[in-house]
Amino acid sequence: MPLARSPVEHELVRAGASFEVRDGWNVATRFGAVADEVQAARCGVAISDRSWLATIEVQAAAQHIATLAGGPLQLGRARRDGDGCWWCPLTARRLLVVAPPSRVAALHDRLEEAAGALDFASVVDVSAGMAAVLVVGPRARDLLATLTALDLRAREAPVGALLPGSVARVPAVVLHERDSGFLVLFGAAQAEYVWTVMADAGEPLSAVFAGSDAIEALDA
Amino acid sequence: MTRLEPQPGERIDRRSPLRFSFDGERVEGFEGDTIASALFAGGRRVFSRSFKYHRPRGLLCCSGACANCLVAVDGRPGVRACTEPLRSGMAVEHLNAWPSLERDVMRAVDKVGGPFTPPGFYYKTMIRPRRLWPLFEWGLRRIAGLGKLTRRDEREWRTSYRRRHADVLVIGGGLAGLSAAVAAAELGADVVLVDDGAEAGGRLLHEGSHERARSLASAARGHGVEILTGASALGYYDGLVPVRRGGVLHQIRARAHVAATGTIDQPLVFAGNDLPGVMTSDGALRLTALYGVRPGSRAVVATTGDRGLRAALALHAAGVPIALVVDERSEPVTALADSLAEHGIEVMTGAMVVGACGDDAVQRVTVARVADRGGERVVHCDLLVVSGGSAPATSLLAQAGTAMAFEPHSGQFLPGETPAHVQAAGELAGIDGDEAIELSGALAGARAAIAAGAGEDEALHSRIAGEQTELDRMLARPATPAVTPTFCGAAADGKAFVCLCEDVTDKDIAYSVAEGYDSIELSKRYTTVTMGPCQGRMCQLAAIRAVARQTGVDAPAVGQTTARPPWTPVAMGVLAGRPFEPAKRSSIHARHRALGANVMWAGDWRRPYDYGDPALEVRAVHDAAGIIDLSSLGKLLVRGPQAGQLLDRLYPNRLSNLKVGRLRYGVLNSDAGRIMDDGTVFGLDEDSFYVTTTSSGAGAVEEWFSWWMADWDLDAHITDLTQTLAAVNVAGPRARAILQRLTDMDCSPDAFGYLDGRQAHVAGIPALVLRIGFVGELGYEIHAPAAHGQALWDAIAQAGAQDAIRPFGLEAQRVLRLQKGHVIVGQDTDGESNAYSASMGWIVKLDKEEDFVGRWALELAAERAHAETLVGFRMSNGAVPHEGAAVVVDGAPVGRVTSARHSERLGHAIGLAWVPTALRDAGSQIAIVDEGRHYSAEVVRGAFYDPDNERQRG
Repeated sequence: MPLARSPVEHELVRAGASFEVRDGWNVATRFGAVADEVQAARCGVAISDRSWLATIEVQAAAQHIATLAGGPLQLGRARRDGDGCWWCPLTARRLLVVAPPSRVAALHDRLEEAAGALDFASVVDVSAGMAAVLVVGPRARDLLATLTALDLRAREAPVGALLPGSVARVPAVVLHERDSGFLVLFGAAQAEYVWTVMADAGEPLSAVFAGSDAIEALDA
Repeated sequence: MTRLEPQPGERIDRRSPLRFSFDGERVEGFEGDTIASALFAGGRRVFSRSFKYHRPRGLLCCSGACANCLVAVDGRPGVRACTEPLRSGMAVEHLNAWPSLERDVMRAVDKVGGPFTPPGFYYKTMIRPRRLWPLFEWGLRRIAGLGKLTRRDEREWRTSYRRRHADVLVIGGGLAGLSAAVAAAELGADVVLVDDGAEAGGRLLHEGSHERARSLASAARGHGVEILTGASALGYYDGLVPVRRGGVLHQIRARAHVAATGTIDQPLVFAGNDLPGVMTSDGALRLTALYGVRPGSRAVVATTGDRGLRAALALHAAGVPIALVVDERSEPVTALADSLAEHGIEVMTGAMVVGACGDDAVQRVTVARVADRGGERVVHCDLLVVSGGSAPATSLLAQAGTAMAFEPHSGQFLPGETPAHVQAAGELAGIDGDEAIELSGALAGARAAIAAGAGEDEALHSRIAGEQTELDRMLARPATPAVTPTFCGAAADGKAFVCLCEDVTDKDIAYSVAEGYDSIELSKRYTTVTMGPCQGRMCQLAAIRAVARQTGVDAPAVGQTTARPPWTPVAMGVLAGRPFEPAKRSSIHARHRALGANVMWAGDWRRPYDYGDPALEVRAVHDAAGIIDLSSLGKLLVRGPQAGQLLDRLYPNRLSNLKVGRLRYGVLNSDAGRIMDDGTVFGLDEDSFYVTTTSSGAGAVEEWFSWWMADWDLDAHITDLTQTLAAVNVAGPRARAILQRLTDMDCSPDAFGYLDGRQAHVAGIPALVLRIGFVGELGYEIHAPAAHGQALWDAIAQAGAQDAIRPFGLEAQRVLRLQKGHVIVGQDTDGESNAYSASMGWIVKLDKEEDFVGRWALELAAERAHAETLVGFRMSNGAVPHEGAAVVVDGAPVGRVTSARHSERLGHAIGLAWVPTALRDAGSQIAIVDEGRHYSAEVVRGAFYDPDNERQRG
């Protein structure tokens, strides 16, 4: 199968990204020195394309969502499991699972199997339809404040907070994924627009683009 | 020297000179100066020309309230020089005067134009002769307005939004506002304070209490209060307060608000009250205390209260000689008068200014007794400091829903009960005296914090109750009653301005009342009083008093004008934010650009209009093969045991019996039987359907499905795959061969017939292949994950290269579909169209057992003849009418053209049009009028091209 490509790949190319194939995706790993990208993410703000993350939509009766998620979920809060998957309840009957692509096949099969045991549940891989951008760093909130009216103050939106809303005037879901790191999920068709707007909003903040290597370094 | 000796608490740094230019001439100021203070220090007295009469105007308020110092900075008009911080190198230019600020030819309007420009002259003059209107318009456009915006490509001004959530928003950074912010923050609230000054502190900064102001601001910051200075709150929208600060629009949403916007020093109305050199007491004090600028070399102070007396003392202390103080009160009632006497300053009580004169600036002032207008004196001076009382800045509070009530003792309109979560504090609330103001601020801050959910407990409530008692005790002290300024009547040779922004005089108000506009709201609309850049700050009270004088009622009965946002003028660019338009692009978009596509908006998508030659693209589809990106099609996955039932209820035809692997066309109707959208439904398995919609209708259809599904509570799920799946259509006689090269699936007509669908791998990509087409040739829609969209496109282009496959865009598609008579919902139909009138009655199955949305309306439509019918037409000549051209009968419009193109393949122009049903039969002749030209056309029923669908089904 050909490589899967991010909806903003040509923007990443224009920005000087280096790419590597990871789990079937052409992933932007760096834009320059990884150390600089890490520094920005630690001291300023960095923008990183994460559209290669898998997203699976689960629909079921409210009482079955907890069964499929392996535990109760609270609206407005996402739960991270040991495999690095985020379980994001969008409504009482709709759940989005954001997962590393290496986990998606097994996860999908497991969910399908679990859904099969229920009266009726849907499990649909919508990975290609969702773009994801991580905005990370102490000034991440400042950047996002130019794009969204969501309340991202630490007190109101601690790590794990899940906020559906409008970002850059498009429907989006914001996941407070890590300390001062917000994963913004939105429709892939709007990715070029959102990326352009985010890059523009980042200019006054000296935001840098970060590849996956820098984000992995942050995780390490 | 205009600069005074260093003043305690001044904002300028005399060691840091800054150079800038005004109208091309170099000027010097200091770091911390405003443009106006630097210009004034440099000797400039005229800053602008007035809006209508082009009279010279100088600094009045020095606080950003009035419009007297509007200038352009680096090409950006509408900047208030008195609040704009000075920057090195800035190019400042005057507005609204030609050829220069000093000599403005439009001043002729003031000298001789009065009779031609009464209030509402724009309703009365320049109406006839009509043929001269273009000339009037040209002239008015050159004269009107306050400056010109430079061309967009010459502007470099970044505007953006910033959203800020807070527990408490304090508007106003004076003593009350700062106290409120500190009190709220001490209780743990997240507080934002906005103030339109360069520094928080309000009056404290120029009334000798700058240390107290800076100490409070420091305490606030220490408690984590975010202080936004140079920030103007524009309005109150149900808790959202937009605040402009430079090029940034802060959209602040707080759980509780404290309004501490203070009061505005009011000017007085007398002949010549607009001359440069007439300055409010606050304005003069600001210049003196904050910027070390001598506002005049000899001053007269005219006042109706203590504020003016305090100003006289302060100016005297700063070294400004005071020639005379004119106090309207018959007897000075405070110790301030004694202080003035001790300093040898003459105070004339029971007196007022009756006129100011001078050549483009104040040179002398005439004063007289209030009681009998006697005892006239002429005093020579170059500064006339006026204080006509103070008006609480209630606009934002009024927008928040607070009703104002007239308080006779203070002569002010004061806020009544505020809405929950909104507190009023300080002078705005009618509180006088620093101690009481500070306490009222602290109380408001604490209450706001509690309303926002911070720190509520018994002890706190007890403390607040105690503080309230203390405040009440302070307020119980007798205060000096206010004096309403006496209007002396305009001198014959002088205009007395009520509204400086709009050049509205007292005579104009009288004129409007005489013409029947005898309420403040009507007079406002007629004269535009209070509608200028100051938004009533400097003129509302004077306008109320003027209307009261003219109508014989008292001020409370006149009332105030309605407070509306924006409270402060704001550039449209700041409201607009960054210039980006949300757009959807397919995953193949980069390839389209690389192929040189001309891209256009199609709904909210950016799509290729053509790739340079639409006619060539049409030929390729007819003769070989073409490929078009259809990723924008709406795509819904409908799954569940009752998915078929859901579709049967939504569509007028049967879909639950759709066989797996088969496609069916469907038209969605509203409950009124009107056409909403169309598309196809494909049977994926027994319980799963793949539904496509129009590109622009995807969102609405998804909502429509979800809404009905929730209402019917059916066991079905909807997943919107519009952006998840890319889609391309390969069409043309070579389409089958090309597809076959990319898949193991048998693409032969027997194995894969028309309206069949298959799940298969195409170029190694898992895909859903549908044998359908909109363009009238053999075709396949291939739907695949968007992440592989470009790879799919490239693979098809490569596989079709030997067959001369070409990409085609929307224009070619429109020609091709029109040849087949295919309707585009939304273009060929409108909100009144139903399936019968649109010649698609065949799709409605009224014998269907299942009820469906719009059934009742469609049953009626089926029974009744419809007035109009959508038909095809062929033009008699080669002309192509515009879409929207009228279909006429006996000269009267009876229908319209919805689509029209020239068909190279058919050799004539064709189209679709709504015509009277009597003309719907094939062969009927219709007349079309398009931009004054008359054409004839013949009605055609069915497809123009390949009417038996042999090519499509081949």
